[in-house]
Amino acid sequence: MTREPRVIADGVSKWFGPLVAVADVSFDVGPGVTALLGPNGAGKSTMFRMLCGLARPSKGTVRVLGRDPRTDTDVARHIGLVPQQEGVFEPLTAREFVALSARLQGLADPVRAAAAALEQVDLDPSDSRRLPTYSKGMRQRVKVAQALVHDPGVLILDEPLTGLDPRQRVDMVLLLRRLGAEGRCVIVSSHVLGEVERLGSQVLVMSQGRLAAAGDFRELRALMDDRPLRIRVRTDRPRVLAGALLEAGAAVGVRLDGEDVLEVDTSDARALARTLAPVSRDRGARLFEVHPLDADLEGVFRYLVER
Amino acid sequence: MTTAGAAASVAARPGALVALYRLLLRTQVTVQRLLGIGALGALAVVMGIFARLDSNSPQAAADVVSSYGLAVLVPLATLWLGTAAIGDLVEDRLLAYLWLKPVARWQLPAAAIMATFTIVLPLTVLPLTASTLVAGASDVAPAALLASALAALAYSGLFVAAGVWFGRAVWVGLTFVLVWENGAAYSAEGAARFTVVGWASSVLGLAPDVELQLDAGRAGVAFVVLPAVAVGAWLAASWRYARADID
Amino acid sequence: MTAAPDARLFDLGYRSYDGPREPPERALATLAEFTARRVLGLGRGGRHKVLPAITLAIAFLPALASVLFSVIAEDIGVDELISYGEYTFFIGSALALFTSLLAPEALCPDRRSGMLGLYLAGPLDRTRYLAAKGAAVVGVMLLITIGPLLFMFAAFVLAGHGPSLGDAPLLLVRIVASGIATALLYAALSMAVSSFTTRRAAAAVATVLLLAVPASVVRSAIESADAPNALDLLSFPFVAAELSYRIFGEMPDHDSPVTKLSTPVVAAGLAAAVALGFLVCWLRYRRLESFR
Repeated sequence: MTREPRVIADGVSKWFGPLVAVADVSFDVGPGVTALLGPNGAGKSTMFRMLCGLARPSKGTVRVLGRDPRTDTDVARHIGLVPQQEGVFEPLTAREFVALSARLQGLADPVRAAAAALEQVDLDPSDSRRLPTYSKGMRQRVKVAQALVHDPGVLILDEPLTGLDPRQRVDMVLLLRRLGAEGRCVIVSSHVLGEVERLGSQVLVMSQGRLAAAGDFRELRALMDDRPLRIRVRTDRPRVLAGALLEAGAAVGVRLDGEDVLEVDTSDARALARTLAPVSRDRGARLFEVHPLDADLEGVFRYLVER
Repeated sequence: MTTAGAAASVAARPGALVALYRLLLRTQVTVQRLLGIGALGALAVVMGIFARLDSNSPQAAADVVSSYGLAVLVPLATLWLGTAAIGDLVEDRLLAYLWLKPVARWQLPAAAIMATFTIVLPLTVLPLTASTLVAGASDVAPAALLASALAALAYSGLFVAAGVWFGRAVWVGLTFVLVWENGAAYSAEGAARFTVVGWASSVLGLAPDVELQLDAGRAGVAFVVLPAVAVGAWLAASWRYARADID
Repeated sequence: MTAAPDARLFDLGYRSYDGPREPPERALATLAEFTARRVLGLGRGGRHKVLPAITLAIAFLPALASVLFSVIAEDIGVDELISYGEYTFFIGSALALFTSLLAPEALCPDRRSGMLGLYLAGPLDRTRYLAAKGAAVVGVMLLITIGPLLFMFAAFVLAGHGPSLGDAPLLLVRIVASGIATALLYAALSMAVSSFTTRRAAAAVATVLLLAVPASVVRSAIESADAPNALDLLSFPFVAAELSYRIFGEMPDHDSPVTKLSTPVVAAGLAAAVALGFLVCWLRYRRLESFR
């Protein structure tokens, strides 16, 4: 199946006076879940605002479903936004808030749509309490419900996991994965990299306003050939194994950690994989654990933003 | 969907305007504001009782409407509500929920002006009119009603627009009311023509046998100028809102 | 047997402060200075200075105009320009505008953001906190209650229209006394109002309403219903203006109920309003619970 781009940024920049918040960012995001990552101040929220048309790019263009979200108000039918800010409409209940969103989207039966959206995020539509009395996590789920109520093709979620307890986070991740699997274009930003990893492997990494990387984070890791991969090996003969790996040329550096742990730096993961077992056998070292330390998203992220 | 069809679907949805209007009514009406402005309106009726005891009740009643109603009550009550209509949404960062909707941009400022006027009308215009009746100056009542209602409409537009244009709209509004409407209007001959209070006062002049403190021109012109101020302010607010970066 | 180690470890971690500590009044002075700078927009971006600057300009404008006229038009006597006594009356709008900006900016953000809790966790108690805020608000108000008059004084002296050497000290004392009385009144009222809400905008509007509405109501009662003139003590801006006239030994050229009251009554009325305003503010803060 050909990836059909739904959100395209082309040479987008945004500055506020002398401060450049986003600099020349280009990407196209299709169906599925894509994580937008970056440290605080990287320009993620500014980028999200431009993707939704809330802010005008100082330079470049943004297209959602081929249309400009800034000038074409009708494209808002196809975008659902979960903003980062915690504020809510104080006089409203959850159902009223989501029904308002449905009404403004022009849905025929806003009340029913609101109830369905709230149930989708595991909230009780008949709850008559006003939004300020809700916990942080409940308010977050209400925000997701109002973004989903009109069944948009594009979902943009700015820190949707904030305030959720571990079980709620798992549920939210499952919900977002399902939405991505349904063919929607879901763009998520989060600092909880462990959960983001479970959403999927497509990432956009921003740092200091620029796009540092885009694509499958595992493939990105493989591209980082100027930085050795670090593998943790637990063995009963760490010193012997360390020497053997160095001798075999499979490691560029080794570090002993405790009685039985060896951290191996290698610039060729495949070569290490081919070498480790035979060398261990030859030296009589038993292997209990072999685990890459920085091949995960957090390792990739750290590398990209610290460059 | 074609662009023309999309534009038609965006424009021809009065349901969105009503939904926004109802939302803003609910966000603007707080117990604090209701009690505060309500009490101020009640004071107008009290002053009407005082005016009844005056030897020239119609003039005294007209003075209550002009020096209290048009100079203080209507502008400050509308300032409080009008700047908060959209201004509070900006301050609380809630505008994103309303912006990202297939709703024409002019509808939010229009809803804000309508909601502000809806709240101000019973809390200020009606008590001011009642004060003239309580004063026994029923001849003044129609002019008081029209003058204060038209002033409330014009101020609603101006202060909603101020809430869109300025970050600290209340102080801009206070400066406008204190220095321009209550200062320049009374100090400089001819300046009254450029004030809401001046034109509203002209409408009050429709009441028989009443001397005006301020008079911008013919009352008939005021019936055009004051609504035009509201419409102009709405257009300015819509223009600015459509171009604003939303937080 | 191993040799005694010739190595030392130095603790570079947290160290508590054991030196002398300044009295809590120092914290009070620091907070007052910080608040005064904040409300004037000093140390903040340019846009925070715009409103204070505009209000200061409005307050100084009559003084500037007086001075210019006295210099340019030699046939205009100083007596024909704005007098010291009537200056407070003249800048009533600027006073209302300035005070509606100051006290809400000084008090409301601390409660809204939770900073009040942090202040109270230190050497400041609620009374000291309010004393610092009050000192800041009054201090900044003095910029427009005394500043323009001092400017006029200095300009007239330099231009040769000023008081004689013998009269100058008394005039200066009057300028300071009038300025302090007016600043205290406006500060007390606006701080009382600001203690009721965390929104600066609401406090600003409510301050102006407190200054304008009682004046309208009592004057209507006095003029139409023959209510006693003493009620005009609730017309706070007019009380401050009238006291200024009395301090400078001048008579206003307009007739109003407060002009018919004796000087001790006017002064007592102002003092009572000041005391009540600060008391209300203090009582409100005493009852406040600070959660954050």
